[in-house]
Amino acid sequence: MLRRQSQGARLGLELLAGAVVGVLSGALILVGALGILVGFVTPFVSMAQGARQLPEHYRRMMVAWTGIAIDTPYRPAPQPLVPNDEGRYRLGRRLFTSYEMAAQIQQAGHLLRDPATWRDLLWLVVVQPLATAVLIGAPMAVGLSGLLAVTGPLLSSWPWWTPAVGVPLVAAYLSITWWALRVHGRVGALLLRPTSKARLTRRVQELAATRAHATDAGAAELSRIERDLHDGAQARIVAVGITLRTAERLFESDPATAKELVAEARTTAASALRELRALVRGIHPPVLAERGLADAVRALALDAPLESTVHAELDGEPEPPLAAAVYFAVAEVVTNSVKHARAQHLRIELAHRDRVLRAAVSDDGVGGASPVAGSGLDGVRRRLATFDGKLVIDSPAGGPTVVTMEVPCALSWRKTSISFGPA
Amino acid sequence: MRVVLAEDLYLLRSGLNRLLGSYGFDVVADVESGPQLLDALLQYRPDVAVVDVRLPPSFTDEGLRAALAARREVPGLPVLVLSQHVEQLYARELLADGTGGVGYLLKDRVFDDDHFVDAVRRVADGGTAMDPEVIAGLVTGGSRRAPLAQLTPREREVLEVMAQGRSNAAISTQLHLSSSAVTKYIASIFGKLDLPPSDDDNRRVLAVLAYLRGS
Repeated sequence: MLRRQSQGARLGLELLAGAVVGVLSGALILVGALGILVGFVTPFVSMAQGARQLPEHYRRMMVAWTGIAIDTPYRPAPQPLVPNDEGRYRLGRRLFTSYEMAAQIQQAGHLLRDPATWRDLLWLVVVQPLATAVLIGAPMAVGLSGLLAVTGPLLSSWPWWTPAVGVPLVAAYLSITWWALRVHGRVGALLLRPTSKARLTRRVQELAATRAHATDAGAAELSRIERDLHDGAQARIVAVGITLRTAERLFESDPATAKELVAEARTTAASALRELRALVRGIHPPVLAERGLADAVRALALDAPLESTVHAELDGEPEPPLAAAVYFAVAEVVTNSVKHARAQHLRIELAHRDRVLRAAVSDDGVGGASPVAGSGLDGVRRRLATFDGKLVIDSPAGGPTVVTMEVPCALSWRKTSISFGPA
Repeated sequence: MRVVLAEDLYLLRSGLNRLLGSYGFDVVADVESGPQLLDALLQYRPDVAVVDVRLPPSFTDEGLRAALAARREVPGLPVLVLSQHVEQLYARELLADGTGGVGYLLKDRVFDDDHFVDAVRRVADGGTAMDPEVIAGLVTGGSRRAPLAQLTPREREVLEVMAQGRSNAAISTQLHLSSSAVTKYIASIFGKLDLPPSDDDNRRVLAVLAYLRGS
């Protein structure tokens, strides 16, 4: 208990120091903003950008110290400028020849328009110093005077009874520190977290992006399936028909050739079936439909040309579209390990806890996996984003690699599994 | 030989019925759902059951589960499972009790009626009939183990055909080997894999399958 109080006191000191730095950096932004009026853009951009570090630090520390989570509210950076046909950069109605100039002005506009910039500023120069003075400074002054009163008779010529006043003061200070810190955090959160409008805007952007990807991917997938059917199974079945028709005509006149043709038709039908089977696996693996996600992942591991272990404990089954997305995500990560990691062993874990489905694939390979744009892992990230899922890759050079996928979802009905033992 | 047939698609069911009939099998019941299959298996106790993995009402692996449930009631009840796709997972489950009398084939194999009927008979006799794709997967999956890597390419071929459940005679026809050569290869394979030699075809296959499954 006392440890927590003394920690509260120490963190209070940190906030006191932060208050001074905060007021200064807030003042710098204001100076920078004034600079814009006389045509200096760069100082404002660098100061406003730099001044975000302090609130960011505060957000990180608050969640670490007190568990009060304050999300980052800043709008995503604007799209990089691209030159037009004449090599100039358009910004609103103005054209710029210099990229640096245009980019700075774009950035300044972005910062000026982001309400978080001004909320940060208000916090830095007004709320934060006030809150720190009232919640941290004042109690600390009380605590310090209490300490003086306790040590007074020993260190100087204070009357003998002053410790009797000092001890309650110190105790009062210590008992208030933790509470004061939390109040500080709550007050800070009022300004430093995203406004509900900012949150909604960001959510809409996310949804628009993932929806665009989902529909693009869906359309691309359908046209691939159409092409595969058209050039593959469909063409082969046409060939079967023609061959059978020819055989039919030859049955009387040339039975030997007719027999050969029928055999040929059978072989062609068999290869059409093989193609359809491969195609079906790519659309929706049959084992997923028959057994559900956990067993489909087990079947996947059995087919992988690596030593693999699977730990899959699910009390039910996610909705089919999500199960398919997670299945294909795991399949892609496994393929990645097999192709690039030079791994000996593969471990797949699948669990559902706190309404989050978590799949982790680890290998003992060479590491260095990264989701560069267009790569398989990038595809996995996008596929999961449609379901608000996340992909985290931990793959230092030299390995090992752990790829974790998390998707929020509920599990519904249960599919019975008759597997036994680790796969 | 009495057969119970389970297949939900009418065209396939009647085609299989006709095919088996033309080879002299007596199809005592042809059913189209999982619960019906289990009832028929327990009622008729056929010499062999030919079962589609995916059956109504759930259109999941209902056929496989009914077959496994029947085998728990009637140990060793011969079951040949047919599917549009083969999964090592299902092969393991079928082979798990180690008693034989199981088969697991792609539906395409029905195209080759001689082979298919041979597989049905083998399963009815307590043997095994594993699809070449399943065996290829098992051999590839297990090839990181040192003993398998020691096999010569020819020995691997012999191993794959043997693990499908085929007899020595069938192996020698398929791989164009003399029967004494086949015997020699098999002895050498068993030596390298450190498996006890056995004259009994069926026990031999089960040993190899157990080895490939890594259990």
